[in-house]
Amino acid sequence: MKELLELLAKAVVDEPDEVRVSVVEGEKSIILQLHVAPDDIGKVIGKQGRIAKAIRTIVKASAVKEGKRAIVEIIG
Amino acid sequence: MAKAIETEGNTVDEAVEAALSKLGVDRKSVEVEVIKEGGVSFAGGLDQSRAMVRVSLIEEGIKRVVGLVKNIIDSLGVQGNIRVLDDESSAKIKKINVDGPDVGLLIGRRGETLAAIQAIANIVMRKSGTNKKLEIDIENYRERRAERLKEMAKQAAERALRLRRPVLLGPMNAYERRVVHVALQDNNQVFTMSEGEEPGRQVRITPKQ
Repeated sequence: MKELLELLAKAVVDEPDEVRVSVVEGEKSIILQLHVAPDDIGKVIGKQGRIAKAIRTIVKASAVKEGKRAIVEIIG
Repeated sequence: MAKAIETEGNTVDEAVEAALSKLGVDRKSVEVEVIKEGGVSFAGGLDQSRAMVRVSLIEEGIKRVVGLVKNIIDSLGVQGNIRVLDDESSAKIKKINVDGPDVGLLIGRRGETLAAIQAIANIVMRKSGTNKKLEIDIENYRERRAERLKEMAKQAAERALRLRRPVLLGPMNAYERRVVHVALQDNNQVFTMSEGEEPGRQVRITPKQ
């Protein structure tokens, strides 16, 4: 799931080397914190949060497979 | 990063030739956008204007996107084959198809995962300098869904006419609503309109007086 989020974030940003994902894993849920370069925050959020929503949707599909709830937080 | 260049020439063909030799590729792997037609303008006397084109590599974008989609599918633990369709019917849309035994996960509820993957893929397309749109279909989901929506639209229109009152369809995303509007645009007995806010936006089919 972590790799998937990294993959998606790197695809949309201008500075893929700055993409970091840290994971806080609970029993039923998993929190993924996405860190990107300050100038790329807008890129991962998108107009009206459209890109953030798309990223979350794909990560959630992956979480469903593992029987968990995934929360993606975007941190600059 | 954008693999696109602009060139000039006496004619459009000349400008394209110049671009191709600069990029070192053949005509098939590029997309040409004419910025300015060349030729002689007689408006203010003899003024030879030069043609200007923008030439971009299409294959670059497609290749990267196919790689990305493949990686997403792999990360989701789904086995899927990706095919790039050679559909020349539309110059603006490039279609790829994903097939496999358990691709349902990639479609998601009401196609939302499919829409999300396509959204990300199109950002990568744009970043690689092509102005083509990518359309992803999974096990013909889009096609099947479009057929169902068209049928639904037709039946709802008949119902609206029979009951002589508007009929409201269920919530749909922009793409699906468009299919409904297009399906009924030639029906001159009803008109269609979308109302409400995303994600609950719905199509209302109203009989004309």
